[in-house]
Amino acid sequence: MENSQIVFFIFSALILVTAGLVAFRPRPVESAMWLILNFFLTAGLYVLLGSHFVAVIQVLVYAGAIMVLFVFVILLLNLDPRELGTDSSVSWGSLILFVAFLSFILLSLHVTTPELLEKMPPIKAGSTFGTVEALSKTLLTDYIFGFEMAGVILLLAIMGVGLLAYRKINNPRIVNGSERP
Amino acid sequence: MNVSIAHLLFLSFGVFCIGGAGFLMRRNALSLLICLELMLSAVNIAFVSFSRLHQNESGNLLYFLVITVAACESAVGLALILNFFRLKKNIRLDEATTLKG
Repeated sequence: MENSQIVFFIFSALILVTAGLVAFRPRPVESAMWLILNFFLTAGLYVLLGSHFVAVIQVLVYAGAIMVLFVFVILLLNLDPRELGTDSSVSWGSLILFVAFLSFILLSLHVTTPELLEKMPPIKAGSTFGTVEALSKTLLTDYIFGFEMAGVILLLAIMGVGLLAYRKINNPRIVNGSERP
Repeated sequence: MNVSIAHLLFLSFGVFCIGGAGFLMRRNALSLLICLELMLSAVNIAFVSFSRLHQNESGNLLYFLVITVAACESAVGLALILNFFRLKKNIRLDEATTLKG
């Protein structure tokens, strides 16, 4: 086994473990912290894949901006366990059935399409894959419409959040966000 | 990188399944949104892997569109959660039954 393979397996094992901790830790703040670690590990995986700019954006935007928003709301709400509610549980039988069914499907895929298991070709010498230059060139030529749509979606989200957060302060009928009859 | 696309897709699929299980089992709104982020992150892993397989930037661009949607979704979702908390003084989703017919 080569070095890059070993690094890949370590990263993917850590990503899966932190994903499990994100999904099943009882308190939201723990989930958020593990999710930040998960995003950092995913950024490491992107570096291994050669998409360096995507890795930087993962750390800056995902682990930075979006998770700060989550942690901010968690701290703002300051919930105690009583206000969180109890999580539902899943029966072991259905879990085992799901995993068995899934592994059957994956095994049959393995048998029928062995070319999926071939190693990926190495990045050609002189290729600009993963650089900011190549990415922005593709973004502003082939995908300009999608780029504009992303801007429109962000604008709509800002307007929606403003609408949700808006409340009249001097209206005596509105108490705690709900209207009195 | 000496691994096959299948390894990367298994990783992406595993993270997606964990996120989906968390999404279905958690009963508070904040953990639900966090699990949603996890699922979107799993999809991103698949996009970037295919981008690397074909050495084509389109997958990386889809990654950007996905994080745009993730940012919008978390902003709107967290605003909804804050309003819900103002109304009910908790974030238990079992109590969000006002629209029940």
